[in-house]
Amino acid sequence: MSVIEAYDLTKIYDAGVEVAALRGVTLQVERASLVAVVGPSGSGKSTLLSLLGALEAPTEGRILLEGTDISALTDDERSLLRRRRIGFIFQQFNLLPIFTASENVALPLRLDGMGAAQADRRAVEMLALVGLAERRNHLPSQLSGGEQQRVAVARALVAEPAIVLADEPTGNLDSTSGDRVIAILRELVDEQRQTVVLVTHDSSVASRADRVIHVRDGLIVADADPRLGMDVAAGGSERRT
Amino acid sequence: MISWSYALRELGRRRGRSLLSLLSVTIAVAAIVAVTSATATTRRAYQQVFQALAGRADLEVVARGGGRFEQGVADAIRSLSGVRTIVPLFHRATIIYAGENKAKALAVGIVRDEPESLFGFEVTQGTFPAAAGEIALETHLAAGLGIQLGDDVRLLTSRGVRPYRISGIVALENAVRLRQGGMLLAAINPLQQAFRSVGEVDGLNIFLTESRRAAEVQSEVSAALPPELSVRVPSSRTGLAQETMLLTEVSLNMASALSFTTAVFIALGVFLMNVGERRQQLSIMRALGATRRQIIVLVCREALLTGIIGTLVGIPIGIYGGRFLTRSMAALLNASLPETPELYWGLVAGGLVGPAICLLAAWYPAYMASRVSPLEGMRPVVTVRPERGHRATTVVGLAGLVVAAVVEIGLARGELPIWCTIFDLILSLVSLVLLAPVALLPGVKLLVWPVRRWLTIEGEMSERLVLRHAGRSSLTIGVLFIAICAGVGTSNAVFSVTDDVRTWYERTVPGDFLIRAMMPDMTGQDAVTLSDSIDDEIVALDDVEKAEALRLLRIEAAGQDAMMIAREFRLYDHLPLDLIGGESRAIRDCVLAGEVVVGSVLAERTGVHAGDVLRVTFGTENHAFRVAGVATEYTFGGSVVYADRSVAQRLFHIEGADSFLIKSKPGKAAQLAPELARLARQNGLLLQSFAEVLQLIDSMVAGVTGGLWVLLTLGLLVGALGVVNTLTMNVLEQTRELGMLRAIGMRRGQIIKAVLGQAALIGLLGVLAGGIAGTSLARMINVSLGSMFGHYIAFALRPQFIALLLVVALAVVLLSALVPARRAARLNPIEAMRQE
Repeated sequence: MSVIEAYDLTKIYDAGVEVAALRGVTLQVERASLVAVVGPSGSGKSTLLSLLGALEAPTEGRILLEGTDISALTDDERSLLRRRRIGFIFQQFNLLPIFTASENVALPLRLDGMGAAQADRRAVEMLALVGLAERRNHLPSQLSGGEQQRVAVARALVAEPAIVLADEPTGNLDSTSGDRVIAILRELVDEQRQTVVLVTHDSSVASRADRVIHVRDGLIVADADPRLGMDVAAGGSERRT
Repeated sequence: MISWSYALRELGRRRGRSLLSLLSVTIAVAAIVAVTSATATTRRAYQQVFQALAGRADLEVVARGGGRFEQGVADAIRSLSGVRTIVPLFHRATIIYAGENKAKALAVGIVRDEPESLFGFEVTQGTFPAAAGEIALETHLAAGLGIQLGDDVRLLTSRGVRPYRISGIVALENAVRLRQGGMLLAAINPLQQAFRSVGEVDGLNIFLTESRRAAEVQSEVSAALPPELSVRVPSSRTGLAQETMLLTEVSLNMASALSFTTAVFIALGVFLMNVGERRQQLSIMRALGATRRQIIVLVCREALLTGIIGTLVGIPIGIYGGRFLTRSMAALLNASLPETPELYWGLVAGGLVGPAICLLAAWYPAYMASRVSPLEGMRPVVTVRPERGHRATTVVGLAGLVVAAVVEIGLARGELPIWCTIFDLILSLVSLVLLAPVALLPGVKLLVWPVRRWLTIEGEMSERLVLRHAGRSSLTIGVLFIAICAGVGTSNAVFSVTDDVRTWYERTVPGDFLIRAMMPDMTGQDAVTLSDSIDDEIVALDDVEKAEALRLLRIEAAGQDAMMIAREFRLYDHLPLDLIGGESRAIRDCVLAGEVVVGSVLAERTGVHAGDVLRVTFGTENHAFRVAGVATEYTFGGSVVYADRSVAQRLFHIEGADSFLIKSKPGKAAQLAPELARLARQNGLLLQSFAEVLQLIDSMVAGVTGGLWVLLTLGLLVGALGVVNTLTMNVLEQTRELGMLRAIGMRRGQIIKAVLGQAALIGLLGVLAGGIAGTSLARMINVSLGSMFGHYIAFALRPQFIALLLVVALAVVLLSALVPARRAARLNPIEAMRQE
């Protein structure tokens, strides 16, 4: 069953000159899968992630999240959707420096109107999941890069989203910390049936995904299970995306 | 709520910047609380004093113009239906002597058997006076002079200094003590005799039965009265006092409005910088699902917190400042005002202003924050968005200037009230600040052009950095501009008025000495009348060339409350007045022949010109005068009519004098001074030399301008803090570039120069534009004042003063810039380059 489906996604940026970042991309992401999107810089993979995450609207095409069309939502509706159904992990961690680890994790819940105590309890549970319960009162500046990214993972999960989108989650980490973060994401998929889509440059990260989507010049040029080396497309036929 | 804790932490995180907005809000709140409470206190005090005199009558009969009239008039209305009782009003200014002590006082006539006449007075010791030679003293007056019940004192009356015994001490329920004196009560008939006013009253208070309404009886009473008298519902006769207070109030409110505007701009700058610096944080929140509304609420809550804290700090400072201002107003009006300030409106205004400043200033930054794209959080480096054009601000700025010009024309033509000056000023300044972004590029180029050949790399960097952040630079320039413009404008206006007052005084009071009973009272309260015999004593002194008796009469001129000043013009070859047009000698001849000279404000208000006829009512007397000319006048709000003494005596039967203007023989002033001092001492009078009177005028003006200066200095300091803020923000944003520049060999000194260069550009633009606009503002204020005073006030430009102010302002700006400059210079290049 697909958690997210995208049909003929096109995104054109108009910065004086029109630039097509995506040119008719179609894909489905199954529940409880770890999908890696890879491709060279400027290929359109981050744009794909931002469209899937309702951070911006496509120029053309449709996106269905759990069967609901999100491509034509208003800004406020997209905000609510991100808050409740989508978790984000960024390369820069993007924790708010004035909040402690648990407060950062609790932020999506507090934005949604949950009381401080309840949100904090939930945040600590999430921090425990990523092995940082004892660091909950530390400010981001008091945490290592790997720890900060684990806090970001906990924050992405706290609202029990339908899908977690990660943009180069290991890009700013050393290999040990990076491995740890990917291990956590893998566990989430395998044990908690979470769905994760991540963008990465790192082939070792991509190798641990269930599926790797190659993007180039705004098109999906390959879509395969790295462990099986076969095309994921229905019937195994070559497909244009 | 997450937003409150977030807001609080954000404020705590940027303490310096939060303090800056807090300081600007505090100053504005304090200024508004101080000014509102001081003016409200003064107004209440005057209302009370007039209420105490007028009692609580349903109607009052007064002479048009406020003179005296026959008490017998009461008989004509006593029998009218609904009239319960009529109480005559009689009061005269006097001096009470108790041993070595003396005090100015208001002698009030009472009817002992009439409870309404005694309303508001409560006997604390003894009894109300009944017989001639008895008086009762107001508590504070008795205490001030050390007088006990039964003591003997003397009073200055129209029949000379006469003995009285204290029959009682009374407390006033509702009145304000007059400065240097208070109130004393005496039985009305003996008091009238002592002041040569038998059968004359200042007014009649009419009390009605409950069955009749005041409006019904008023028309019947009016029909029964002779035409020179009018019946009205008692109102505070504060007309003249209000005129005197108006300019002061307008100046103070202008200063408040300026601090309000400056505070809004400072807070706007701070919030814009906060939002700019936090774009990535805000975008993360947006990415995590914060709606635009939540972001707006978040920024506004920070603003509201600043506003509330600023208000809480500003109000106590404002209350203290209000006391200081009330004292200054008391000095200006020569009256004692209550110690308990009128705080209600001050607190209401202050309580609203603080949050209003912040919310007003936060609205735009909050809107900008809500437009932050959630995508920015995804990007490792935030792209620097090119600043959009400034079309909207330019259009609004130009439209504002057009409206301001229209208002200015209305003010100059006297079609709009003086209060519009404040609106006009603020609108002009805000419009000019809105035009700053489009003027920035040509302004910077113009400044740099003469030195471009010698410009070093640091200079070029400064130029580009100022232009790179056009919005931020413009805002800081705007704050400096307002501070300087207000400083130059108001100080120059004060100089112009002071110069004009001096010129007026020198032309109008051409004497070496002035003898009067007590200090002049600018409220129009009756002055103490001096006996004519003193004139003879003065003239008898060897070194006196001439002594002129001046007599003040409260009149109604062309339907307006006014003061007639009767002078002995025959003593002068040229008319001793600050005439506006006309030939002095010719006008003098006309005045001696029975014409009058009208004060500029009265002429402006009534539309009277030379050659017109002016109808003057004094008590029961009514006379039409031909106007010989118009003269600048500052006393009694400029509502003055000058007539020759002989003419006034013939038409209005006046006696005595309020003061004597004495001219010594050439070179004999020094010898005359001790002789006049002896004479003044013997008669319990006050002797002032010409220099002392000028000093008095200066000190009155200084009291008000002192307050203005404090506010303006604070404005400049806040402006300087704005520069620190802008440059700190620039340095923070440029951390990586500065690190890179250090890495490729730029020295610390060069970094400091680059930052100071930005300060110099911002400072020069703000200060120069402020200086030019301030000079224009001064002209604008002069034009507005001209319509108020009824004559054009000569524009007194003081280039040295303006230059000094500009140099000091620039020095303050450069000194302030040292803080961020040193911060930039201390950056470690490696760490700086690593910074995101």
